[in-house]
Amino acid sequence: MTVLATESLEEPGARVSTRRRVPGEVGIWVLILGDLVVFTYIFAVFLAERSNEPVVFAAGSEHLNQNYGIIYTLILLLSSLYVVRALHRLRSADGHAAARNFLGAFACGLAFLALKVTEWMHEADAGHTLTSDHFFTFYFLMTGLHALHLVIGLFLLIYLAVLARRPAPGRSQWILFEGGACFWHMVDFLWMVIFPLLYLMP
Amino acid sequence: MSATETVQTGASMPPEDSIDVVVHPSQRAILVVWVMLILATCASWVIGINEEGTPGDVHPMNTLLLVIALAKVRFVGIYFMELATAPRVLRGIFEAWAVLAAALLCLLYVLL
Repeated sequence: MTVLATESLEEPGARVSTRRRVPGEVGIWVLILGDLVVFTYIFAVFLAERSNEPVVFAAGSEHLNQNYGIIYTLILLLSSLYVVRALHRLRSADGHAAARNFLGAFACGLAFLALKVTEWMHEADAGHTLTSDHFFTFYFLMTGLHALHLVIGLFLLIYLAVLARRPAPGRSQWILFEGGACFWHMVDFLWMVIFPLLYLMP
Repeated sequence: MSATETVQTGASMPPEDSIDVVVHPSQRAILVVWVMLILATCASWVIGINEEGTPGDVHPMNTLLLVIALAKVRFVGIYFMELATAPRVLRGIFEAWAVLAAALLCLLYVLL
């Protein structure tokens, strides 16, 4: 195991013990787990509704572009990698590299949003809206709620990029870095479930 | 996947005479997990675009898609969100949610 040298580890008599810690802080996890419960409920209701109107849901899903669907997923996976790398850079005390990685994630998120808005407009042009049929109610609800989280995440990423450039982050800054990173990863993995439900399944 | 490299001194005050360290998965391990997530995504897409069948039927492949999705979520949580080094209770809650959500969604899909 390679250890990044710190002065404290070289003190005579220092004991090194591995310990577990909450990434960020407990509050962010309450938020994340709460969000998971809400989204799981929405997914469950989606599947229940789908069984009531299989033809409508199959037709709606057919209409969506599956190529868009996978592109979204890959973009967000890349953005999550950027965020992981950003934290790694921060731990190597390279705030500027960390900031660049946060901005890379931001660029991915922005690309996702641009593509998403294009898709919404395309669907609206084809006559599919929140109220046109139940599949599209769920489509706009799920992708809309997800996009809301993504937009919050975009603001977070910019803020983290700015914060990363400041020297010597303390405990509060670390909570923001880790908590913010976890929030962004949540945006990524929520989409991982939405993608097959809407685009691949029926 | 247990190779570890980066040591982060804990953000909280360590007890006297000891240094608390958190040992994170290496960047190499992260990259391996990430590539697997990409491949799983592509596999799901290939399965999805090749599916045929009548609406209302249960297609076993769809339950596979759900399981793959929740497995991906689990790996994001453990490796990206650093639950690997989190208190076991928190990790346990997350993993339990992933399993329960997969089971719930698959059951709803199959039974309804």
